[in-house]
Amino acid sequence: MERKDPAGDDRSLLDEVQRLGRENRRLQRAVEELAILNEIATAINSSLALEKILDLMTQRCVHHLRAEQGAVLLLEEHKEERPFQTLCRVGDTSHKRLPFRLDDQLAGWMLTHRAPLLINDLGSDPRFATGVGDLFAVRSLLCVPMICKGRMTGLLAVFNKKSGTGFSEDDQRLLAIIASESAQVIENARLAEKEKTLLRVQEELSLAREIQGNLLPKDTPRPPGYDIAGKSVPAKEVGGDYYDFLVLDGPRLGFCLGDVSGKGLPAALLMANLQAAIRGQALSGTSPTSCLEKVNTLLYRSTSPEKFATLFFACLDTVAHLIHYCNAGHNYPLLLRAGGGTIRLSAGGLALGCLESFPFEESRTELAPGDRLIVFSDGVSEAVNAADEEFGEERIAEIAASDPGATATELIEMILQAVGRHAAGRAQMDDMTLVVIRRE
Amino acid sequence: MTIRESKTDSFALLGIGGRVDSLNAETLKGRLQEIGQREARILVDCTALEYIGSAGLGALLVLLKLVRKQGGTLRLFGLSPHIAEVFAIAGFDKLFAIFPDLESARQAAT
Repeated sequence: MERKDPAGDDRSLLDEVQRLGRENRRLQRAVEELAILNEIATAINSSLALEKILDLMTQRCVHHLRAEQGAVLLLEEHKEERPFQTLCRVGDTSHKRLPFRLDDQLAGWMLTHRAPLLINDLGSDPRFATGVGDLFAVRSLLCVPMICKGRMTGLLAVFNKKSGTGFSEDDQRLLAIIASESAQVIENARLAEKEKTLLRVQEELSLAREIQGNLLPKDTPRPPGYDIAGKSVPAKEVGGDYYDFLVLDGPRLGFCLGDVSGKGLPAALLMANLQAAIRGQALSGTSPTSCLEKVNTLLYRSTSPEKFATLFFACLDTVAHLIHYCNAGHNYPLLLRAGGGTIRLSAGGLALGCLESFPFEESRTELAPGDRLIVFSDGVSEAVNAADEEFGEERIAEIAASDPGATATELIEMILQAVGRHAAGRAQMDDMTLVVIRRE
Repeated sequence: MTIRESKTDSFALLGIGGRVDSLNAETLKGRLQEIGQREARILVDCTALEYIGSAGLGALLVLLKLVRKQGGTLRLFGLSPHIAEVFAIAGFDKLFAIFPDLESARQAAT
């Protein structure tokens, strides 16, 4: 029987004790990590608000990793310049000199490498040797990417380990787990906030649409011997087109159709301004030119230099059957004579709001029984099909010529349906507005 | 949409091509604002311009106002019949100095 070496027994016992000690510390560390992770998971799942989640997470990371400062940066999609948006910072206020702006270099490095970054002696790190700038007060840093479904969504960083040793591999592993566990929660919260904002904008837009709808004439005038209709179809929720009917004096009826440059809300606001100006100026006794000259100056003074509006304005005398009109840069309305032939009403001048004052011209024409006047915006004539081919004013004239007996309302519907068939499913690019006046 | 800038004699020569619609007019406006602030004699080559909507006309209007403020010169040339009609309908043919080609635009009396 072989005798045991007592010294060897002691050695193996000592080894065993040391091994158990290491194992114990590892387990202890694992228990601590699990407790930290559990605490963070509970904290971030307790709220749906993005800012609160980020704040809780950063606070816990700073605390458990014994750092002086922490930050979460979220990556903004579709932003090439400064793609990171700092959403949360937590700092130890006793360190007044700590920089509160993450250097672009760090964000750039993370975006390129998408890997953890652990630096315990920043001053001598060759990667950040130049342009450290704002990072001068940072001695050590630990930074990990947040990755969600294969896409980098942000980064999580802590700065300046409070104990002298700097951040450890264990710290890095823990921060990486926190980042990967929270990436999806943060992404969900971010999407929920985006949706909320979008819903609010939608609500405001539909309110704006209602307001704009109320600016359009509620009743169409029915002077004896005339059939009149108008319709406006905005391309977006709200548009820059408008039409109006104005009762002037005796048998005189004013009507106009305008198109403000640009689209959407900015155009809609200017449109409301134009409508109010016209209503204020088109008083009984005023001629179309004097009305438009005043409106032009008003619009010029109240808009930015690139904005203007085209407007066709006319006064119809329903007894003398005369139209006095002034066309301020608008698509020429088509006057289809019952006896054949089409006239384009072009007399007028420059679009409104381009110059502070402009001498407009006016012209007049007579309406014979069966004559039809079609006033339209360029959204109708310039509606394009898949081959970029415009609908064109010739088609408008052809449709009208094909059915001389159609009422004003029917003619508008016929034209809009033809535009729809022409576009063949292609989205409406511009507002479409039509006014038809037919002498019976 | 394309925007090219070069020099000819004492003029800055600006070429605007393609389609200028409400989606890219803001980009054009930005470029024209920048050019209008540093150049006082400008020729705009519209030969390659295929389409221009109201927002594009607005961008050119900004340039015209900047040039006028400096007492400078702005001339357009090479408008296709279709583009010329767009200008005429809006009354912009009364606002801008329009020439058939580069030579006539360059040699026109100031």
